[in-house]
Amino acid sequence: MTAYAALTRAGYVASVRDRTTLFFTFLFPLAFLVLFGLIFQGQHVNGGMASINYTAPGVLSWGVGNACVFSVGFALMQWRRDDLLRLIWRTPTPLRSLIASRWTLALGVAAAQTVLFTAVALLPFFGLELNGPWWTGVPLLVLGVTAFLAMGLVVGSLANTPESVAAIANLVMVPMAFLSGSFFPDDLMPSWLRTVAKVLPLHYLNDGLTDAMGGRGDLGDIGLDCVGLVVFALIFGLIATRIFRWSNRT
Amino acid sequence: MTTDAFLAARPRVRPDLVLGPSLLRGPTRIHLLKDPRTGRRLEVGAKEHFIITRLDGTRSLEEIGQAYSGAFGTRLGEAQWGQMLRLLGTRGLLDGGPAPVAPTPVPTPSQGPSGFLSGHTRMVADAPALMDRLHRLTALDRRPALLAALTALAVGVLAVVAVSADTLWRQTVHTAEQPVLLFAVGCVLWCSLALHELAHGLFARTWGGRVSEIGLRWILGATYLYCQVDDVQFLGSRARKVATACAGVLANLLFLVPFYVIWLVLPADAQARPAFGALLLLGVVTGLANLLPLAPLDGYRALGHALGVSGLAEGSRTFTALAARAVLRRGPGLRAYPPRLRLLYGGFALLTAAQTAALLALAGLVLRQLLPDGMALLAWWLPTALLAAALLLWGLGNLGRRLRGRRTEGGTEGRTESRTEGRPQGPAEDRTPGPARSAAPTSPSAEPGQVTGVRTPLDPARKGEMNEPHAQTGTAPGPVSATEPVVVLDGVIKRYGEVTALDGVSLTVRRGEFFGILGPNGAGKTTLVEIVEGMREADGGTVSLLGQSPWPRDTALLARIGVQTQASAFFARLTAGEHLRTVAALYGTDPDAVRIALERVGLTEKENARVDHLSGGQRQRLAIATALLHEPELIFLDEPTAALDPEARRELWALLRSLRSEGRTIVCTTHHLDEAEALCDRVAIVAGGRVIALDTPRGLIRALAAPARLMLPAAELTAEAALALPGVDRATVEGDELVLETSAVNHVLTALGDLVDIESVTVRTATLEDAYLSLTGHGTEHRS
Repeated sequence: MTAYAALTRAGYVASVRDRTTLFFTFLFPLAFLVLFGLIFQGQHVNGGMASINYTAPGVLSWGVGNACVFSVGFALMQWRRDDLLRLIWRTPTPLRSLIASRWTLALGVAAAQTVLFTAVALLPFFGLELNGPWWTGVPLLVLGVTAFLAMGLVVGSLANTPESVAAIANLVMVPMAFLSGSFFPDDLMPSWLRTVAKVLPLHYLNDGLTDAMGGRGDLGDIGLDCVGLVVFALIFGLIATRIFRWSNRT
Repeated sequence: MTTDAFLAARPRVRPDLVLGPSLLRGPTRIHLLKDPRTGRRLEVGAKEHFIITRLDGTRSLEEIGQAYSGAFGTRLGEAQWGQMLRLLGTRGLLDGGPAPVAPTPVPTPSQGPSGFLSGHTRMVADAPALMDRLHRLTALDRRPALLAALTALAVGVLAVVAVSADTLWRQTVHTAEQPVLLFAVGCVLWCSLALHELAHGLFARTWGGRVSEIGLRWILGATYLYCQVDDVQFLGSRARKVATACAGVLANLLFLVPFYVIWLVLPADAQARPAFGALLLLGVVTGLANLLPLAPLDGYRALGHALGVSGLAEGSRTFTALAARAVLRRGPGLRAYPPRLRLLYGGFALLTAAQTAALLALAGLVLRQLLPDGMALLAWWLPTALLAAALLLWGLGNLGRRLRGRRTEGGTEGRTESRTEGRPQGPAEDRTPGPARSAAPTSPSAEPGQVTGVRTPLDPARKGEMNEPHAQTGTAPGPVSATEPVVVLDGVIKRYGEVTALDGVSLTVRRGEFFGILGPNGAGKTTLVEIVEGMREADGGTVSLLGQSPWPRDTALLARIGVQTQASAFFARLTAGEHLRTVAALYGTDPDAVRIALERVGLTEKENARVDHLSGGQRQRLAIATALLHEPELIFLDEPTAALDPEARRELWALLRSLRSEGRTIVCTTHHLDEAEALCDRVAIVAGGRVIALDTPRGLIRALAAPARLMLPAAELTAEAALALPGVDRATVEGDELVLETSAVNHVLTALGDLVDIESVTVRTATLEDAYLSLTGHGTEHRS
């Protein structure tokens, strides 16, 4: 077994055995989806797309981003605190195998979330219809996972305790979720707020997924969202490499 | 020969040896030498150059050695001198030595066999003779006026073409629509390129260079003439080299003169006039394009010569890669590059990038003109996409080759390679392994100015081997395998800001030893171990682990040591077996190692228990099993029995003893003194960042000369009576016990046997704890 495969397997086994994480990764966002789906059932935003066409991609993008940031942030902090990173440092395994295994896991989680949330939203009761180039969701999600994974690496490098991971990640993710239109349609937000949201990575993932599912924008718009995610992935990746630490002791 | 006689010798290098220029290659300065008899070229470092230039027969080795130590701050021992002189001798460079063996003429060029798709053929039977004839005809070196006139003429061509550029452009466009005419123009320009090459050769010949071959090369249907020039670097001044590099373009421009005249005299409506116009414009453009400072064009060569840099593009590439890694905080950083060189290599990288971008934009512009409007996007991006695709293919090819190389090397060798990967690599010519290239002289190489590299005795990379013979200090004579030092620290200093964690630590751990490092918390034990395993860099002193420097991270070296961590690092929520299998995969070891390691630490039945559910002792065992998975030679244990109950401690001790009996070297930090006394062969006591004592546990106790203490019920004997006994130094009553101190336990016991019930006497001899407390200044009890 290669180091990459072993790390991926270890990560998979560890997450499957962790009920709390499973709850926050899958059921918590699903509860939001069901809640908003019930409240706004059958309504249309500004006479345009159905409300569920905002809710489903919104909750999906937030769920994916949240899961990435938290899982990677926690894992990195914990592994450094437990000296597991130093154990890996002593082996010939390069850091990229470690990152690649986390990336694979995050992609797997994102895929499972997508299937689950979309399947629920597609139920006739909620009434989601895929009118757009829904397949563009794949590159969007891959890039989104990459960007939020990099962000998780930053969070995990900054924080030294589980409390501070949760604090930093929530501080970043909760306002971002609101500003990026994950919880209510950003088409209803004042235009200056939408401009502000352009500096947030979740905005691009949410915007792209909404376009992809509901057919609101064309391929060019989705391409621009992809570019935005790439830029954020690069920025966070660069920051993460600058502040990455193998050990807490300095 | 005695050392004195040796140092008084005045050898000299052959006077006909040609000293070439000093050039920059990457961050280092190299000097070129040429043996005119064999045509062999050598490349030496600054230190060797310093010596060679002073070996003139008038100075003795001693004098040179003094000058050398003045210049470089290190002395030359007899060993280094011997190596240096042997090197010069075997290459036939010493005067009076054996005549150098001329290399057998190799059928050049060394560019691989010819085939249909690519290859070469020689066009001139005796290229040097032809160049000699041309040189006699032109004699440029004796007629600077001629050279000036030719240059003026070329500038004139540029001027007239610039003046009538508008007309010429229209005529070029017109010609471009007639394939036959365009083809004719191309053929003429092809001939111009042949002259271009010849001009390089002629200029080089003028200043003493040698043209070894003139021929024709073809690659995928494209053909071009070439003129192979040796020794461009030996032409003398930089100006000559620059002129040689620019000579080709001069020839291109001069070639156009007759065509310009024809173009001028032809009537305006002559059918052939546009073709001549196109020839002029395209000739000037291709000529000038060749002057772009972009590898491998002539302008790039000229720039390299002007700056005195060998391999500017290669050096710049290496520098950029290093800089990129430094931004990501990987690799060794840019310490080797002073600001001037950063500017040089960084500047050239930016220049190359700017030129590439400009060329791509230009190509896009041209394509935009050629392709219909509907394909505008394609036209703009096609050149970039093609370049990106080519780079991608090239990168994939490299990656594939590296992967294949790794697979064939396999197993442990694979690790060695991953280690060298992280190091900066020298220029392409340097990548051949040292012994191979110093073993035999290479034939005059294909590229002008390329030289044979020699790994010389003063190579900084091998300095440590020769100048620092400290590794053996303190080791007793004996079989090498038994006393071979595994860890050698010499004056190691580590500071964290204001705090000095290690303050000149020196110690040697020998193979097969159980070595204890004892000290109070915060004494620097952990820092010490982290420096030895290469996790931290020492601020001063030298560290050697298994004969190598552990810093920076050296995975091949790390694979030979095992470290048990204080925190017991396990993968969360995995079982013991799963954890070990994961770590085994990280090391790339056989999964079978897991079973063996579990057996060895006695955890076989806990294989399927979650790591979080193991007891303290089991966790310590699992941590040790983790450190043993890859069968390390040297094991670091960090407080292995911390927080264990006495029974678990005893069990762990048995395990540690069995590891030692397998011949492994063990370094163990602890603050349990009984543990050190029970397990360690030698103990270093560290306090305040210093080694305050280093000896066997027994030796430490003996050195303390602490008295033994005898205790008996106070009711049995009075203090006064006890003091009267021979050998009793002190007698005090503590509670209901009488405590006697003595350094002659047996005598006192014998005497006591007559007075009291000997069964009621308890004896406490000095322990390592006493020695430790005394040394670290925490105990005053036994201070005399």
